[in-house]
Formats: sequence, C-alpha cells, structure tokens
Amino acid sequence: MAEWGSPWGAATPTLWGAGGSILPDPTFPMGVTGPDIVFFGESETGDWTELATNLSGYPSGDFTAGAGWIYVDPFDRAAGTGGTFSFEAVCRFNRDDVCHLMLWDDVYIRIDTQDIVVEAGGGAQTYTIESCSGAREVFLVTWSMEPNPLTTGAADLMRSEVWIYNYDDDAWEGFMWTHALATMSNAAELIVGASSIAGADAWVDEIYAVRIGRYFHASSENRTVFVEEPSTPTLHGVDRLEWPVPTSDSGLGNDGEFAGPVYAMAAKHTHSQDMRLHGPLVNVIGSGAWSDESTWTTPDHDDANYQLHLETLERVPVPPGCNRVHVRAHVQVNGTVRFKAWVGNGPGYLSKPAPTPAAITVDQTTVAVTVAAAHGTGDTGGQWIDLDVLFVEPDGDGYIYVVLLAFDFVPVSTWRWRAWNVEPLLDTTQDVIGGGGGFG
Amino acid sequence: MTFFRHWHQGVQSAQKPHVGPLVGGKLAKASRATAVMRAQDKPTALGRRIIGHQSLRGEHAWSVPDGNPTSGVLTHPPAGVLREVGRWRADVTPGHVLRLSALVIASGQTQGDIGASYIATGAQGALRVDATWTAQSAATTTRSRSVALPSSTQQFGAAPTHPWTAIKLVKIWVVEPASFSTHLEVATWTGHVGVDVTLSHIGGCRVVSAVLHEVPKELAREHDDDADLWTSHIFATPTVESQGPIIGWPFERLKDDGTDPRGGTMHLMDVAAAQGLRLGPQLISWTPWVESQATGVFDTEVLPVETASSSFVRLWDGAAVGYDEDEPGWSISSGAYARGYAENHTYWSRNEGSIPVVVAVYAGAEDLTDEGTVRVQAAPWSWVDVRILDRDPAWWLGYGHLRTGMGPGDTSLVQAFFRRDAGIGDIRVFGMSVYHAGQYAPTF
Repeated sequence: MAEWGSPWGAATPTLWGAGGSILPDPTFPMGVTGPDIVFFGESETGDWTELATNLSGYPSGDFTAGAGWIYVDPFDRAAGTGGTFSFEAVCRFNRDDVCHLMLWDDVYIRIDTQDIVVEAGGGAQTYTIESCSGAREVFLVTWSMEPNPLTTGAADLMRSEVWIYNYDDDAWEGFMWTHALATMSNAAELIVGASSIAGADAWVDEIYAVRIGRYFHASSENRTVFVEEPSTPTLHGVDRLEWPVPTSDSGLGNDGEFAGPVYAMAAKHTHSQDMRLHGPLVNVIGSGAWSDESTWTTPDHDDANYQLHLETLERVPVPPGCNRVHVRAHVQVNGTVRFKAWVGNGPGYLSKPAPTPAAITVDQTTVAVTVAAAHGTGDTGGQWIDLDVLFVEPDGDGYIYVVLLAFDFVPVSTWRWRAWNVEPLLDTTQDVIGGGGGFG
Repeated sequence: MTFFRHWHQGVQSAQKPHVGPLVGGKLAKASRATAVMRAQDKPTALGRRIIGHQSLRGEHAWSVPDGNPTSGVLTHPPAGVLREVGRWRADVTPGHVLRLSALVIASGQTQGDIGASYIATGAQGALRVDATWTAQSAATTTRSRSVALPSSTQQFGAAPTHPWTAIKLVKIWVVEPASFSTHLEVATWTGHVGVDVTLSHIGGCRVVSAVLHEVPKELAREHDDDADLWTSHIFATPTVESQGPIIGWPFERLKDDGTDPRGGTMHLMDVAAAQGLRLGPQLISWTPWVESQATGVFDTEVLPVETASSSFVRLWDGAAVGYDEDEPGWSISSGAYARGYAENHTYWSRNEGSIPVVVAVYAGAEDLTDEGTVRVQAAPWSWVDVRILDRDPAWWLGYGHLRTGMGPGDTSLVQAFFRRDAGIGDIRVFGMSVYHAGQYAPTF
C-alpha cells in the first residue's frame, strides 16, 4: 500500500491565481483577492479536531469540528462566487457507504454505494468507482474545476475533472465533464464530511486530509502532492518554466505605480519563453512492417556494418534555440541488433550510391544500443531504447535530416521499429546554432 | 483604425535582456525598458511547429506498381486525382504561415480514364496542400498549393532499385491565406486563427517524408483590438529588429489616448500573460494513412482506424488495451518548455510537469446511432477524452491537461485509445492533432 503524502509543513507560497482568462464572462473571479489556497488538517488517525486545524499558513482561522465532520460558516476566505475551484481529500470508504464528502453552496461531492456523485452548476454527474470494493480502502479523491475554453454557452461554461486513486490497489480512475457556472457564495457554509452543519449524511469512515483551493490543480500535480513525488529526472539540456508575472488587472502596471518591477519581471519572463513553441520534431508510430526485410538501406560511412534505413528518413525544421536533439525508439527484436540514429545537415547520403564522409557537411551518429531479445512477432512486445542526444546544425533553410540505423548483428534476427521520436533541446554548455528558415 | 505591423524576418533567436539594470537602486533608463519590449516581441517570431507529417512509418515497398499498366484495367494511380493522406488542425501561432518540405523518390506511372477503359498517362506526381483558416469572427479563407514531383525515367515509371541514390527534395515555400497583403487582411489572418490542413498525393507519388510546418512571416494588429491576444508589442517596424518608437518614460501604454497601445507597463503584463496562454507546441500530428493501405493508390481519402469495442482499445492496435509504458507511443517531452507557472508551481509540482492541450480528432462512425470516445493518455493519471457524436466525419475537440514531464530526458509516453459508447457500428478515426491551448477561447 502506498502512503498518502504529507505535502504541507511549510507556509503555502503565494500564487497569483490561474494566470488569467480572456473568456468573455466577466463573472470569472480570476483576480482573486483572498487567500488562493486554504489547507485543512492532517491526521494519521482521522481525528476530526486535528482535521479542523488550518495548517495552510494563512491566518484565516480553523474549521469547526463536529462529531464526525468539520465545517466553516460562512466560507468567506475565497473571494468570488464562481470560477475555478479545487477540492482534494484523502479518505477511506467502501462500496456500502452513503455519505457526503463535501458541500459548499450548490456544489457537492458524495459517495453513494460504489458511485461517486458530483454536482456543480445544476447538473449531477455519477461515476462508478471500479476500484471500490467491499473492503475499507484509502482513496485520494480530487476535484478540479476551471473555465471551459471550448464553451459554447452558459450550459458548458465550466469544466471539471474528478480523479480517484486507490492507495491499496495503486489504481487511477477519472472522469471529466462540462457544466454551468457553479454557485459558491462567500455567505454559504462549507462542510467536509456531511451535508449540513448538524451532520446530515455524515461521513461513515475516516477523512485524513483535505485541501481546498481556488485554482485548478492538474492531476499530475495532485499525484505529486498526495501520492508520489517523482525522483529528480536527469534532463537533457535546459529546463524551462514560465516566470510569473501578475496580470494587468492586478493594478501593478497602473499609472502611479513603480514601473521598475514590471519591467524587471517582464524581462525575466522573456528568459523563460524562448522555447515554448518547441515541439517534437519526429513523432512516428510505425506501420508494423518488419525492418529486417527492408532493402532500402545504405551503409553508414563511419561503420559499414550499420545500415541507414530509408523508411525512417525525415527532414525536419529545427526551431531557433535548439542545438541538440534527443532520440528514442521502440524496437521489437528477435535476435541481436544494434541501433543508432544519424543526424546531419547535408544531402550527402541523399545523392550518392556510396556516400563518403566528404559529401556530408555536418553529421553525427549516436552511440549504439544493443538489443538482444526474444520479443516475439506478435502485435505487442518490444522495448524502448534511448539513443541519446545528437548535435544538430541545420542547413541554410533551417532543416536537419534524421534517420535510424541498424546493425543486424545476428543476420537471422527479425526486428522492426514500432515507434520513434526526436525532441529538440538546448544544451547551454554547447554552441547554439540559429534555426534559419524564415523569410530573412 | 490604426494598424501596427511588422515583419518577422531575421529573427533567429530569442533575446534575453539583462535583468540586473532593471532592479532597485539602478538608474532608470528608457533604453532598458525598450529592450524589454523588444525582447517580448521575439518569442512570437520563433515558430517552426510541425502541423502535419506524413512518412513511410517504416514501410519499405511502394504502392505505385513498377510494372506495365494492364490495358483497360485500373492498376496504377489515376492521373490528376487527389488522394488525401493526412488531415490536421492547429491553432496558428500569430504571424506564421505554412511551409511544406518533402523528400520524394521519382513518381511512377499513372493511368487516365477514357470512358470505358484506361490508358497509361505517363509517370507523374504532385503533392498538394489545402488549408482553410478560420478567424475568431468565424470568417474563413482558403489556399491550395501544389508542387510537381520529379518523374521516373525508368521503364513503366518504375522506382529506382536503390532509392538512396534518387532522393529528391521538394518544397512549397509559402502556404498563406488567399488575401494577405493589406493591413486589415494581415491583422485578420495573423490574429486568433485556426487552420485545417490536408495533404494529398496526386498521381504516382513516392513520398519518403513530408513535413508541413509553421514559419514566421509578419504580424499586424489594430490598435484597439482586444479580441486577439497581443502576444507581442509590435514595438518596432517594419521588422522586429528595426528602430522602435522613442519613449521618454514608462507609460501604462505608449500613448495615453489609447491610439498606440504597444508599449508601457500594462502591455508588458498583458503580453506576458498572452504568451503563456496563446503560444505553445504542436505535439502530435497523426494520420492512420500508410503506404500499404488496403485500397492502395485508388482511395481518395485516408482509410480510418475502426473499432466496435465497448472498452478502450489502442488506436493503432485493436487487440491492445490499457496504457502500457513498454509499448509504442508518442513523446511530448518538449511540451514541458511551455509549462505555465500556475499549473506547475515548483512547490507542488516538483519534478513533474503538465500543460493544457486541445485534442482534435477527425472522426465519424459507421451508423447514425454510433457514439464513441477517443482517449489520449500521457500517464496512468493523465488523459483527455474526446466524444464522437455523429456518423459523418468531423472534427471533435477535447480540452484537458496532459503530463509532459520536465523536458527531454524525462520520459514522456502518450498513447491513444478509442471505444464505442453507443450504437451498432464502428467508430472511425481519420486523423488527430494535439496542441497546447491555454485558458483562452480558441478559434475552433
């Protein structure tokens, strides 16, 4: 059984809301003026008094503990009457329980035998929790609500996601739907573990932790906070994360305010924006053809054992700021095959029967990855191989050529590429070559 | 109406103004503020996003026959007939047009319809791009561009025995809206615009790889246009690198009367927000078309993948179920470069990343009563569902948040599934695009 996370322990950093919206409805309270996130409680034993204690770091007071629920009346700590909202709870239940998990004005989430029922904006959604059994098990239940960018009118102005994680089974489920703007009044009470302050529909079992917020939490974030924090990845090249700049409705850029901070933040923001248009350069799902049967090959000029396979050749534009690419491939092998990727900027390979190094302006192949396996010949099977990072220098039009190579080490092997992808990156310890290919 | 317009020519890299001179205790200089506004104009001019991609996908046999056409029987591709091989959708990066680059082998033999029979009409082929742009006002414009491919000089238009000796590069340098010259036209079609594109083979094409991608050209905005997000200032004219207007001291806007909104503190904040919402990667451009598809060189449209399964099966393998990290899929690692701050706060989202996306699926069904779902999944806890609700093929959209990880090196694997939710026939998927889309009202 995985342990549910204990994400708090330090004061919650201040956020500037969800980044603003240009959706036409003026009722979206994107300029949230109150605390953006409110935290309540942590208890290994599901103690309601402990759960009612505000651990958020905001001086906004505690909830009131009932006999098997907690509440605050009114819940006036989050400004506005609609817009974004999030609720997460670590709780225990089984398929016999019928009880409320949370209620605030006209939004609620409750368990009804094996179903979870969520209502917002006047329409209830019911979802049967597949991993809910007769056993009492601990679940993470998350609900995030945000404006629906694909809205066609008032009826689908908002969208919600509910994700459910069973700690005992290590199983995720989820569903999403659109709905009208929900009513979440500052004057209404918020109750966790019941549907009224008096304790109607009280929670049958334990609730261990609750987080209530006013901005959208993506499922990846909730998983990091409550289930498992991924280990630090070894990134190829730089990391980019948008630098926060308040939206103009914050008033920070108004006449009479200091201009300097805005200029400094905007300057910093541009540092994080240079690669945001970068996407995969090659993202191919193979057709299923067996590559060992290909005759569309030509030997690599550095090592004639390796054959370049035309059926994987691509010419792709290099976005400005990219000076390396990362190549991965999925291979299905029966025998022993060595794989490489080749990147070059010249058509040397493309015009000669016997390519020579002199015909190629700039090129590089990856270190070989050997796969010795018996993956079978079915429609499934195989493994991913990491062909590492390659230097790129685009041609005058801003393109590179990419192709996969193989050395059929045991010629009786059967093998094929089932997928391959090439991603751009920036290695700041190396030279940066311009992308080219514009209208200059 | 006052328009501001500049060319993106010559922008080869981002600009990163020094932050040091802008912090407290330093002398305020207009030139430093100008540098920030100029720098904010650069990210919008850096797009090379791949919108559409068609390749061999590992296949190594041409569908165009090498032999002599059979007299009176259609055995070779019909001359002049469009055969669609890919259909994609994108939210156009402001100020960008489209460009096609393709690697091809000499085209093969075609046949012509002479009424009751067919005759050989020579080795010939062409690639064609059809694009339809849709503005936020719902106005549309189209453009078709084609490029003739080199023809085989071998007997019966046969393919060369050793294709590595015969690869040719062809391009369609610009695919832009039909009317694209006046300030108003450029402002309309570089604003908040979506594009639907199809790529077609004509004749005996032998295409190794064709890539349709964005390329920056020019950008225009009307001064009080609030409907389109200003992802840049359009500070300098006529090019991004030109001399900009002189500013004496920081304004909210460059002119208080609102006729020149390009500069100033308000616009700095608006541009930062707009870039976060509006600029991002095109992540997946998928077509089920393969060189060996069942109808070979005769079908005029992509043969869809189909399922009647009531539970999710993999889009490219109806026998496979469930997200499986050991199986093939796409990568969207580089989408991590567009991670927004609010969604990826370093305190909560440590060592993890996700971005908002639109999943656009071109799909239909076999029967009028059929309904289905296409699911694009990036992790056991991260997916976006798209409902298919009609028989006739159409674009269906879903919005959600997909895990990207932290960037290349942090493995990302995306797989797609589909199922039939109701009805009696098959759900059919003809193509799919996945792209970044922040919290703004997209064109489609």
